[in-house]
Amino acid sequence: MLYLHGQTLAAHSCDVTVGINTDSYAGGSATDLVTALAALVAWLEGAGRPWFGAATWSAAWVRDSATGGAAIELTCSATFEVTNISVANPLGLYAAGAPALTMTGTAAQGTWWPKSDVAIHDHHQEFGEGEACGNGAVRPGVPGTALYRPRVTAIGTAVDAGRISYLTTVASSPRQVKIYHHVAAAWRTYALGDIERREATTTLYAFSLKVLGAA
Amino acid sequence: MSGRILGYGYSEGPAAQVGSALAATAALQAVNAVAAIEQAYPGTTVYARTAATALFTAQLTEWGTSLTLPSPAGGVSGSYTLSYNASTRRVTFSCTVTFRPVMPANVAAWLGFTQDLSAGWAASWTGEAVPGACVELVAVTVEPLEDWSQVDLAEYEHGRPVSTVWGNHQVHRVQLIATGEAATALRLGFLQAGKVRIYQDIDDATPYGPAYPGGYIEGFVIAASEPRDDGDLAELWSVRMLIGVPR
Repeated sequence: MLYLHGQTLAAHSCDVTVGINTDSYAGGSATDLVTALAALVAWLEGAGRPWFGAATWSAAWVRDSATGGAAIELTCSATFEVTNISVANPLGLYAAGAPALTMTGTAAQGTWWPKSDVAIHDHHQEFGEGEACGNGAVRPGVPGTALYRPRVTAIGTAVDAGRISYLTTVASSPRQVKIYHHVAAAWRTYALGDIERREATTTLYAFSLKVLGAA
Repeated sequence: MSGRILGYGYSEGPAAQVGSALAATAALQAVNAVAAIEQAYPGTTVYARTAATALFTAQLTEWGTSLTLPSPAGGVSGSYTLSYNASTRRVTFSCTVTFRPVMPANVAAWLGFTQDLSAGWAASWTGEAVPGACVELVAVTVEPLEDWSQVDLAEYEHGRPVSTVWGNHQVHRVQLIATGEAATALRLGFLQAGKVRIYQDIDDATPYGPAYPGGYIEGFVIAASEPRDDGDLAELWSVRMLIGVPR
C-alpha cells in the first residue's frame, strides 16, 4: 500500500458506539494519513473511552478494488457502530447502519493499493556512483548519510493506473510518498520521482516507481 | 459497441445571432458559421454562428436554432435543422421551406458538403461525404490518464532527497482504427488538432474517470501519427494520438 502526500487532510469527526456507550472523535487536520489513522486507533483504545477494558481494537488496510485505493478495516472485540461521520472524511470511514465487529471503509485520501500491492526491493543505503583514477577511487557522500535506493514496483489494472495518475495531480511538491514494507512491517518514506508505466498483459499494467529515501 | 471521435468547432461569437453582418465580422471563421438562402428571398444570405466553441453535435443543434430565429434584416421564414446520422455517416441540413445552403470558409469539409451547392433549391440537403468533424471508429484504445509533468528527483547534501514536480496537464495515449472512408475524413486534419471528444463506446455517455476508464475522453490533440493502413486492401486505417487534458 502506498500513501502519496497531497492535499492536507481536513479536520474530521465521527461518533463511535460500543454497546450502550457512545463517544465522539474529533481528528484535527493533518498532513499524513498514516498518523491520522494511528491517532484514531489510539483514541479508540484510550483509557478515557467508556468501553475501555471491555473492548480491544485493531486496524488494518485493505484494497478497494473499485477505486484502486486503500480502505481502513477497523475491528473490535465487541460489536460497534460508526455514525455521524463528518462531510470531510479523509480516512474513508463508513457508516454501516448496524453494529458489527468489523467496519470496512471506502478508499482513504491519497492511498493507492494496486492489484499486486506495492513491492519494495533492496531497501538499503547505497552510495551513488563515484569517480576513479590512476591512484584510487572516491564515492560521493558521507558514510552514514547515503541514501536508500530501493526498487519499487507494482502490477495494476486500468483503474489502478487511473488512480495513481489522479493522485499525482493532487500531490504536493516536493513529492513524498509512504509505502508499507511488508517484509519489515514498517512504513518507508521516500521522495517520489518518475512513475513509469507499461502494458504487462492485455488488462494489466506494470509500474516502476523511482524513489530515494533519506538516511 | 464501437467508438467515435468528434471535433470541437472553434467560435468566439458573437452570440447566436442571425444576420448578414456575421459574414463581415468573422474573426476566425474556419468552421464556426453556416448560412442559408431561402428561395423566397434569393437576395439575402443569412448566417448563423455558435456563441462559443462547441462540440460538433451541439454545434449542429445551435446552428439550426440560430437560423430559425427571425433575422433583424428579414429573409428567414423556415425552421432549420442540422443533424448527423451515424448509420449513413452524413450530415443533413433541412428546413420547412426550400432553401440553398451556403458554406463559408471550409465548413463544407467540416460537414461533408463537398458537392456543388451553387444552384438549385430544396428543403433538405445531405452531404455527399463523411464529415471531417465526426468519424465513426471500428475500434479505439484509450490508455488511462498519465500525469505529464517534469520531475526532478535530486540528491542534496547530508542524505536528503527532494522530488520537485511541475505540470499542468495529463495525457491519454490513444489508438483509433477506422475504415478507409472514415480515414479520408481523419486525413482532413480537423480531428488531428484542437479539442476533440473520443467515445470508447458511443452508447456510453459517462465521462472518463479514474475509477471509470471506459468513459469518453475529452482533450486537446498534442500529437498524431500519419494514418497507417492495416490489412491487405487498406480496408482499415489506424492513427495514434496523444490527447492532452488540462487539470
